[in-house]
Amino acid sequence: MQDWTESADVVVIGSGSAGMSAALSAHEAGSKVLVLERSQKLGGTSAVSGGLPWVPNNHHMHEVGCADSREEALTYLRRLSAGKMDDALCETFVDTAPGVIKFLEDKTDLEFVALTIPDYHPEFEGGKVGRSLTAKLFAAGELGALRPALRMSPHFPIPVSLADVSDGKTNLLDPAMIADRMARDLVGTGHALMAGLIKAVQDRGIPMKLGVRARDLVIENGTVVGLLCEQDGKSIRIGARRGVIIASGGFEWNEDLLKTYVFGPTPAPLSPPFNEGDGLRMAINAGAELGNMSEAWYHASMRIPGEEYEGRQLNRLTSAERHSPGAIIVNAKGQRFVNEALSYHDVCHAMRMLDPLKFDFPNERAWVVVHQGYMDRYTFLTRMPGDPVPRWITQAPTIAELAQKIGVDADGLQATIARFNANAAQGTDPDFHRGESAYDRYYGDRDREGAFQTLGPLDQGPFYACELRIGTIGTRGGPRVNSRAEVLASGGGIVPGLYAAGNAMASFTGMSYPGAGGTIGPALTFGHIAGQSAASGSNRF
Amino acid sequence: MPEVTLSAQCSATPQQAWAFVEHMDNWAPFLTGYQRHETIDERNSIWVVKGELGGLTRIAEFRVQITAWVEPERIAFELEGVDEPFAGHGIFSIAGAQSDPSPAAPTMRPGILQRIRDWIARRILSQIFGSTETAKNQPTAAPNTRLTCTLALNASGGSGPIMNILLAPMLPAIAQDMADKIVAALDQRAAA
Repeated sequence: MQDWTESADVVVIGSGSAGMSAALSAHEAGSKVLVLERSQKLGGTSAVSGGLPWVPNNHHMHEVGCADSREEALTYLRRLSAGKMDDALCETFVDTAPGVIKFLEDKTDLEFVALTIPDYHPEFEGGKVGRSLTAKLFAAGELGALRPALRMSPHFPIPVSLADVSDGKTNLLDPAMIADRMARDLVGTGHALMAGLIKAVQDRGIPMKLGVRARDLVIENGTVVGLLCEQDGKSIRIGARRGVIIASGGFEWNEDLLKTYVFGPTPAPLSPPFNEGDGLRMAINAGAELGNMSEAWYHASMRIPGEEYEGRQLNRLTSAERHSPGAIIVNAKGQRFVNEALSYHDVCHAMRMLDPLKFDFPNERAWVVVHQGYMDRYTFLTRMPGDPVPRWITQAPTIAELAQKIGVDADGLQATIARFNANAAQGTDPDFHRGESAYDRYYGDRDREGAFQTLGPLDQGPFYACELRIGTIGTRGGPRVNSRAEVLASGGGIVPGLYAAGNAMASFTGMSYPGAGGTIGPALTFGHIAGQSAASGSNRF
Repeated sequence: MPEVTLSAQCSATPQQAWAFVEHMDNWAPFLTGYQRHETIDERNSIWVVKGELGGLTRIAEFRVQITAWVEPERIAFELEGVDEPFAGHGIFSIAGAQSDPSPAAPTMRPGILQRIRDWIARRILSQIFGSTETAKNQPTAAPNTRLTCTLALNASGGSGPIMNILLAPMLPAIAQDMADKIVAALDQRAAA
């Protein structure tokens, strides 16, 4: 019927957490599976991330003294989503995700532990601690010949686990510990999650083809039966007897798609530069119904000039620079506009705010400002306390001179810092309520108490600044799916044979980012569901 | 401090080798990751190098100061990171081939702990990137000159100890690669 170069029952596009989860569940359900990866590395966006799945009501929560319920999780998600939540999919996620973690622990070498990281709004009804999980350190050497193909993260270059951060007892820069872990080729963060998933896929003999870019779907009689792909500059045809699962990530590296769909300033991507919306374009061509297209998983980021990942400017994660005492964020007027210690995602919401009078985005250009006391104690991107201050951090002996150097209103900045200092000295922030939430304090200075973990005056020159940018881990719009991860058709019904998961599918929580791992938890879950659903069909050829 | 010393032979005469080495522009582009350099004066220069690890590349600037200039035998220098807490030193020396007829592979002079770390890092790097082995110099048909290079580089600051774990196995590879290219250039000149 078709002249296929190769075929399988289920073909998965993408090798991130959604794709690998799909591959494993489809195989478990008895399908012959094929994984296609566009780049020369396996792991996708998940591999460069912290690698945490956010899973409500998971069976590890008791390890950190917490309990959860279906209703609490749904209440929390509903509270955050500003009316944009897809109730049915949220229920599917909450009901399915804990079992997916158990499945992965039963069927792979991965082991998870619960972290003490609070949800991003633990103060809201249903907010919790313990929903964010991390994979334990994983021996990546077990990947054998595939070890060099594991995507490495520019954000987490040394073998540490978020559990190390969570327990607060591990010296992450202990050379003996790092040397020992390297000797055993242990990896943490997203590397651990993806190494474990890749190992499981490898153990099952599921082929993973690198350097194969899916370009279009092959549709016969309204049903997806395969893919047109590029490999080494040639076109190949991959047959999919039961279904194609789009798990190819978002479109944050495609400026045209961003301009078309995402309102406001164009975000700077933190993901590998291969997420160009390949899956989205295929889904559109297949008549998919789209959803949540204007939203992204945002991350307030900073840049070090001259740093690149895969040949593109690297946008770095921020944490200490927003959570630690003696640090604030200001706009060009020198004014604070947000609780700096909110989640990286929520800080970006404030940066993306439109001024409807002037029709501009007054917080789009923003700066992290710190004082010498900060530099003596805390990290600033890759600069460690005591290191020389690199030139990519602007410095000046006074606040006014710093403001002049970075192009910020000097009077405004001086007034802002004077007010902030007076309040911070009392451990309060009446303007933006920083330090009131447990999350605000979590990544602050644990040697301090209460709100002082994140609040402290900027009272010791010199003063320093670095530009903060609206970044994104990935977009979160795409084809809408049902509770079987089947892609919905724009005219009603489904697109037979087509499934989606991860950042390639329309996120079901609207604009909200519930907690650490809010991307990977749903990705693993809907990947799992997509694999099961695709495998449950009968062969079409 | 991670340090490497290596020797290589070439068919150029010591005079030809010195004439080549004394002008930085001749060999600067042979440094792995070299982007550009700027001569400040006869003793001082700024070097811009791009380092790479696991897909992440970063531009680093170094101040290089010539500390000894013994024509036509030896050039010694010190280097220091402009934005990064790195510092180091090195020596280029040129001698007649008869003073040591056998070309040597890079030799490390680390302590026990450093050797363990080096082994770990080599193993990891080979797993991440594939083989870290570099091509060894082949004795030239008529060696006339022996070039010896010592390069030491130390990361300090908060992340220095870990950076040094990663740095140690890279130095021999970088030094060997550069030496091979210099020898090839000198052999080409000698044959011309």
